[in-house]
Amino acid sequence: MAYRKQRTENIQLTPLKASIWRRIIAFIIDILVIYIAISPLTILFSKEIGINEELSISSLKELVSEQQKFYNIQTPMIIASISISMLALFYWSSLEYLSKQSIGKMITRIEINSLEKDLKLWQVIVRNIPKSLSVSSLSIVFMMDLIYMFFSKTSQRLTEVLSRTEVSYAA
Amino acid sequence: MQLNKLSTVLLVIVIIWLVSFGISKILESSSVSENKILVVPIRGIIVPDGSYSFLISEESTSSSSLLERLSSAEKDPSIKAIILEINSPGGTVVASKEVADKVKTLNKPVISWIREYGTSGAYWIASSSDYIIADELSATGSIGVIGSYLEFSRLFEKYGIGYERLTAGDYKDAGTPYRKLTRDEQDLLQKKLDIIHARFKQDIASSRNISSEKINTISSGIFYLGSEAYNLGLIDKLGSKEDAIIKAKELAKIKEAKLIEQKEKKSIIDVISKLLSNSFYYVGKGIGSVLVQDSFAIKAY
Repeated sequence: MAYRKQRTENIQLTPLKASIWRRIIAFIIDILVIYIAISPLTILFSKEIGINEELSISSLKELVSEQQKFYNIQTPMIIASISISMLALFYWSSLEYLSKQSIGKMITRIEINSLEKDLKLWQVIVRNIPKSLSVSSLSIVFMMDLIYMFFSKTSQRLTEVLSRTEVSYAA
Repeated sequence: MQLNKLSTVLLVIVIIWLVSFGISKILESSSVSENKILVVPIRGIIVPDGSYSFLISEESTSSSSLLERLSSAEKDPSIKAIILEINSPGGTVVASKEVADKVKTLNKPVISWIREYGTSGAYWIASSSDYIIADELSATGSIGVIGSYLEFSRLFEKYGIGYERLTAGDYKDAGTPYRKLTRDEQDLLQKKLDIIHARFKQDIASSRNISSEKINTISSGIFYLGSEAYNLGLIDKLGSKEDAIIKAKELAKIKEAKLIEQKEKKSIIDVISKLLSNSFYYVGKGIGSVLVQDSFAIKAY
């Protein structure tokens, strides 16, 4: 594990916080892995809302304005969207709870640590809720969570502060 | 330890894939069992394929894409009826005719809903459907063929530009914008327009069950307002999209249906060429934008 010396006299070893760039790369890798794992749902999703039917600037605008209409008439798509978020939450929470690392974190050699004694299930669930919501739709909660990280002195996301967790370099 | 981690990862991914597969199957089956009404928009000028959109700055619909979408709708058992949402002034002859022919052969009820305008080639398509609904103020009809073009010979003369005519075959350059048409050429091209017009009229007369005498009186190329078209038997009902949906359900003999709007498939090349064509159009407008058009394109406008 990478450590830093906090004091020279009384040596205290604390994990070195992972850089934001590594965390972003890990997040992108995880998103790709999740999209592969939930491919049956994403294929259905794109087929139903017709993303594959249209690719133009005006139609993208149209798609955004018509999204409400699509969601109103397509209850199965709401179910698919919720399922995608739940599965993403299961991916991050189970892996981080069982091995402190998701696939992205394994590749970028970072891991999560509890600021308390042991890492508990509620902690991994709380820290991963905004990320999971962002997988199926553009989540305002996730944006706020991220914005907080850029202004936080400890480089923690808001839900990391709430869940008393942090991301550091792995051994 | 590493092996443990790997097996945990694999297990989690397999669980996610299986759950996702299961949910998608359940959702798909519920979606397939649902009755659907497909709304196919026909907007702007009807052209054979996307490559034409580079030549025109206006909105266009490709007949190739329309045929493809109508064929896939025909094969989809969950689609019970099709509504053609028409907002088009017409298009090229073959593009309009091939869509009209396809609509006739569809094994599902097709309802045309003319919104702002559905004239000429667009009306040709509408006439092939099972039922036509239009607003009382929408423009329809305009059963005619146009082959006009700008002729620049006098402009060229003014600037001392000559046209050297080298052809093998007397009529090879008939319709070129660089010289005036001869009387012979005019007659020849007019005959061709008349043949297309006759076919156009014949098709509409048989689709709409209109007598040949009556079709001759209403096919001067003039457009009719919805209310006039209704009195002439060119449309079946004055109404809105809601009326088209109700009629589609009635003809398909279904009570409930999900409305699906299928849009034209566009590649990134189409999008870029459309943007470029718009820019070129506005730059060249007023200094001879017509030069980019075909010299003698026959259009069912």
